[in-house]
Amino acid sequence: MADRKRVLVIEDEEPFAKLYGLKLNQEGIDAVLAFDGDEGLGKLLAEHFDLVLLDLMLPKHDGFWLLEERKKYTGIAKVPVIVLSNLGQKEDIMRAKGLGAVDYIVKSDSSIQQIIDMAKRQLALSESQK
Amino acid sequence: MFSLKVRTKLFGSFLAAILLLTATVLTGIVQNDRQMSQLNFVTQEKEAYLVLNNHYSGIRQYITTIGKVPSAELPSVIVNFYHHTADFENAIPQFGSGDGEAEIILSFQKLNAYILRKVDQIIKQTQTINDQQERLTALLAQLRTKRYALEAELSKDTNALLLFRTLGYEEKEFIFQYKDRSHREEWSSVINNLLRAIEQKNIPLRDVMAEYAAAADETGAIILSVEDGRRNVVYLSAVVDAAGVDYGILMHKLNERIQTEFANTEARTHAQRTGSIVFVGLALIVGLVITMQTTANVNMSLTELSRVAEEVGRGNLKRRAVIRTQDEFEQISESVNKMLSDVDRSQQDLREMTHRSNAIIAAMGEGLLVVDINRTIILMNKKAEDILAMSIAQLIGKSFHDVINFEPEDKRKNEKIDPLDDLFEKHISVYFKMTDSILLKTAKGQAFPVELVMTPLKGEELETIGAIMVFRNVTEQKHLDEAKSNFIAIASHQLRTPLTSIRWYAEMMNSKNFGDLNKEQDEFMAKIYRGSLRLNDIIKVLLSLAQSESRGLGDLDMQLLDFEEVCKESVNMFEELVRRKDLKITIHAAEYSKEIYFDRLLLHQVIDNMVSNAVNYSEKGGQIELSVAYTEKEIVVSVKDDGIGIPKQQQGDIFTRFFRADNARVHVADGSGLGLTFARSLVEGWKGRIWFESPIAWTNEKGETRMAGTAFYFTVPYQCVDEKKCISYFITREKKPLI
Repeated sequence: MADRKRVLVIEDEEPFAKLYGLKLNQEGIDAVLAFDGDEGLGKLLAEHFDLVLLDLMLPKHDGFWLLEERKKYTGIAKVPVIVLSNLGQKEDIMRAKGLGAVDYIVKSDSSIQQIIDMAKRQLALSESQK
Repeated sequence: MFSLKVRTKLFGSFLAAILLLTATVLTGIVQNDRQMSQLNFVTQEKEAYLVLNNHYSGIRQYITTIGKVPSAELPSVIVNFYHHTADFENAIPQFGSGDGEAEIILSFQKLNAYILRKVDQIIKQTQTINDQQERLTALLAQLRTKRYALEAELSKDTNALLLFRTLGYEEKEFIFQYKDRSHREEWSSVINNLLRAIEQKNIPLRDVMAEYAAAADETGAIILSVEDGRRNVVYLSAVVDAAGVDYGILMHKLNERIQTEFANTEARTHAQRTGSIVFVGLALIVGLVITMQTTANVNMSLTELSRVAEEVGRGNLKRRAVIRTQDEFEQISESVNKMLSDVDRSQQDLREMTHRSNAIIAAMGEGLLVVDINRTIILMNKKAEDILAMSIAQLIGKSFHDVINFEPEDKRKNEKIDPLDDLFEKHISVYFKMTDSILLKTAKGQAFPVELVMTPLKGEELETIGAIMVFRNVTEQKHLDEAKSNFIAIASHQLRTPLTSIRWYAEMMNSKNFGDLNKEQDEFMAKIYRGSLRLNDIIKVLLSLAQSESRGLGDLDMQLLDFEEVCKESVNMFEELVRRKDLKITIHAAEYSKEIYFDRLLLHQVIDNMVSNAVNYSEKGGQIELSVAYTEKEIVVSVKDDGIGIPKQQQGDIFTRFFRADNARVHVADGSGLGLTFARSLVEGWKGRIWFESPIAWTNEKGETRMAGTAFYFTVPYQCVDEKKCISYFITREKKPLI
């Protein structure tokens, strides 16, 4: 049996974090939660993750900060990041993608199922590229 | 100044005028006599009067004044009066009497029209006589004026003129005489010698003349004296009346100044004098008088005109020619003065216009800068000075790029921006919008975001002779815009976050992953879910609208589009609903519409909205027609349906935010009422037009027409630079051609 995939969910809104966790677990994926950018980077550096689901508007350091910081650490720079945010401006999308996010989802425009499906596709893609 | 030749010519024409004048005067006198005699048959009888008893007071009055006829002569008078009346017997005269005079009373109704004509003729003739008399009086007054003017002129000058006539050989009558005060003695001696000769020799004047002519030089002058190189000369002319009788001798003295100046005139006068002058005495006097005056006038008038010309040349447009000679020169001076007034007025208008333009330019809220074709700054306003923080002195005459340059705000873009290149080489106007984020850098090192319009300055032949740049510093505006943009982003985020919770948790409940819901719960949860989706749509459109209204269209992603393809994509989005409603959709696109540079997303926003409305508000089995057409200036996209239409009384509100027509609410319950507002905001943002018609005519296969549904239209404008190159107005920096 293959290793269970590990996803780091960086989300300050408890209802969302809880849902991501619930749904990912249903799909047999481990979800680790972090509350803000700093905690997220700490966990990312400390543990192995296959994917990061990143909110942008976070307390202390925000999602953009994390996207920039992670480039400094070769060990984590290649972990794919999917941004999940309710910031829907073109500029934000461009900026996040420019910093290396593989995808950008405006939360209110998607169903939770679509998000989980996208996470699964990304995990499969990463697996196939190993 | 006029040449001698011209003066000679002028003199000739004056002589001709004199002859004509004389002829007119004489003819006038003769005619007057003839007219009078024609009236005699009425007016020679002074003792009675005629009354036409009619209600035409004009005639009554006139006839009454014509004559009073003695009773005894009445019959002959009447016969005379009505002599030519063919229908005389019908004009029944009634004779009355009073105070020894007879009244002839005629019934006007029976008065023959001939009599009336006759009377009219008499009236006219009398009027003609009056006119001629008036004219004669006027002419005489004119002549008098000229004579007085000449007298005044001669008494001022050293010229002298003497005319005397002999009555028999003993008496002399001096008709008029001007003394030369400075040469009184010589003058008197000539006269005395002359008179003596006449007395002594007892010969006709003509012979006296011959004797004196022999003493004269080749020009006919007798030299009186020579002083300081100036000759004072006298000319003699015999004046002969119409019958050839000696009338008198005209002595005409000039000093050399006049003589030299008008040598030609003198020669003419001499020619006249030596030839046989068969001329009415008055005419010659008048002629000479006018000639002399005219020569003086020519001189004066020409001097005056040349002075006026000089002064006007020096810029005094208020100067007017003052010539009161009552001749062609006065007319010329009037024309010149009128022309000067016109020029002065035009100049004043021009000054006012310039002043107004300058005031407008100075008061402009934007900076204005004009360069010539060599890119040298030739004009700018105060605002431009303020914006650039450089003085006019520092900028006028400088090459544009020595003091002003442009670069993108985003340094990484590293592109060269030269609007003047675009303008002069591609002959197109250039627009920088705030959202283009272009910095203007001055030679002093200042840099600020700028909004500008640069348009060609056209010459008379419409060739480009420079460029006009209107610009402003948008630093402040950019800050405000960023603040608004941030607000929109935050507001959007804050609205969406709780909405996302609702949506996702409703979705979770519906997924039955956490236990079954009963039928009602299931239904309620579905409503919550649908509500959340609709709310999300409304938020999305609202935010787009806020953004497009505050920042315009933003960055355009121009690409070569096939409008027909975009229409098909829009229709496909509603595939399911179209199938369910069994709608028949057709798309007509002009060949031309296949290659147009435009922003795909923007175009979709508008077409999608229109297609969505058409599909939603069509009845089952309805038809929808999309078409892409074009004119010289714009592409016209239309979406027509034969659906429910828009109620007439609500058509004015259709583009109003949140407005939904009554029948639309009934037909489709949910709808934000924002779609058309947004579409209009976009279309107007790209300077297009958007409108609708409802209901519209639909014709079926049988050729029957019915009115139904709605047609929405919008346009995408473009500008053709020449036959091959067309660009859309709103394409700013890309400047890609539409075709």
